[in-house]
Amino acid sequence: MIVGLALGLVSTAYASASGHVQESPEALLQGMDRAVKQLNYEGIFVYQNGNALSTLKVVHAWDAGRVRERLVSKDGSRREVLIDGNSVTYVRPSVKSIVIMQRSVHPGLPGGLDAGSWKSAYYRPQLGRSHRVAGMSCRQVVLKPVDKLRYARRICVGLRHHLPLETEVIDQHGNVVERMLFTSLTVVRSLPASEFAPPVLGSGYTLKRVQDSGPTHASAWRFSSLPEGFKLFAERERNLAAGGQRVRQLVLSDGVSTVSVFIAPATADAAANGSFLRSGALNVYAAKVDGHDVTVMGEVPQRTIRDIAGALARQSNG
Amino acid sequence: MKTTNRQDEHLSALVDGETERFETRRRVDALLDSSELRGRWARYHLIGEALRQEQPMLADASFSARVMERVREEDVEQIVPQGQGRRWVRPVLGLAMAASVAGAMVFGLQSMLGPEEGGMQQASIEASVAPADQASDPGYHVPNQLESYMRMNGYLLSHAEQSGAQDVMPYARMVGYAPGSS
Repeated sequence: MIVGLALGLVSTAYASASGHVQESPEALLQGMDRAVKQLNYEGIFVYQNGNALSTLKVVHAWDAGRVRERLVSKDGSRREVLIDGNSVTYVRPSVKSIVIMQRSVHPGLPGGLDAGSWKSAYYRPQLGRSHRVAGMSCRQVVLKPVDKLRYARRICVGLRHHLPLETEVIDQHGNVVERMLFTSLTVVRSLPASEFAPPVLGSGYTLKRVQDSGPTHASAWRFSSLPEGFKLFAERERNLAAGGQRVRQLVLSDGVSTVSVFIAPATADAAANGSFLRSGALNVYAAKVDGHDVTVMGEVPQRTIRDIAGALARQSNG
Repeated sequence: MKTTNRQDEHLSALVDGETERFETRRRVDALLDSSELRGRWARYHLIGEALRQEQPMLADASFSARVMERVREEDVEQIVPQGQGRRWVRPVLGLAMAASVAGAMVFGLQSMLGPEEGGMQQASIEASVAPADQASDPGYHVPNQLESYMRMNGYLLSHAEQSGAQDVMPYARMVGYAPGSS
């Protein structure tokens, strides 16, 4: 059994929530950051991507500082992500593919921005209306961007546990491009270890392992300029390409939104030259830059992705 | 027997994307002269269709679903890519050439996140696809679609890992089901 800090957190760190709600948007968001990681919970939520809806189940545990989580699709073919500490496994039985990723352990890599990131100067946190989701009261927090280079977020934070009962990503025209809405959510004292058992796989699976490729070498890649507020946050090399070839990942952030730039050895992938794609809030741009395959992705508008890609160049002496 | 082995080598090379495109056409035409091989190729009619496309094409909405259906039908062997270079994509014969005409990157993303509504949408193609002879440059590796799909898995997982406060469940997008996707 995995006995986490669920009840302890609820009764101590969030005690104020049951009595008088902390009405500061920053406090709600910081409480949410902690609750998402450190509570034990299970729930069903609807994920909306454009006009499409899907239902997912999440089981999450905090086991002595180690996160365990399983996300499983509840409709369509099965998709599953299993997080166990620094290991992330992604399985799609319908196509017999499995990817096992080891999270970075190198110093300087964030592995997720911390709660302080909500203080970004490029978003204005505001309290929205009170709401009721999955039978629980919540209060909306709106992160309104100061310009059109980033998306807005609207999060309804549960008043009792501080879990995000509804999250929305909203584009510059006011359209919701992505939404996550819980239909049921239960905070529990513990969860059986079997909930996080590795998936049972049959034969014939295609396996890919993703991990850092040792120390990151000095990069010859530079950005001539970046969209306002974005900074290079982390850099690493991973064995992402075929045959374990290294791919450099540059991580940019404005404190809330993250953009990844992947730089891989060139292939003959014709459509990689100037392709824009989108999935919900995620925009992806693939292009050839200085003889390399560059893929830029992030939950920011296309314009921001394009500006970042356009500013990337390889120094000749690198 | 020797002839069969050579033919198998040719097939293997095709699977691995190790042959130049022009040479590939010549070899496939030769292989199709064999009734036995023709039968084997018939199982992979998708590649035949791809080879006879006069113009490069981009993946349409149903393309990824069709190809992934093909993947399901194949008996994909257990593959451990580390240190095995291109040969880790060997079993997915039907995908090898399709990638070169459909755009492996587009395919990889579409098959990861689902085509069209609710899934990955190709917003624009700002540049024309590369000429066919680019693929014959020995300096280029021609990725097949399974390879691109697996690479996109890695990209999206690596990106999600770095997502912070913006995404309370950064992996939800990869698990979410999109109609028409596999």
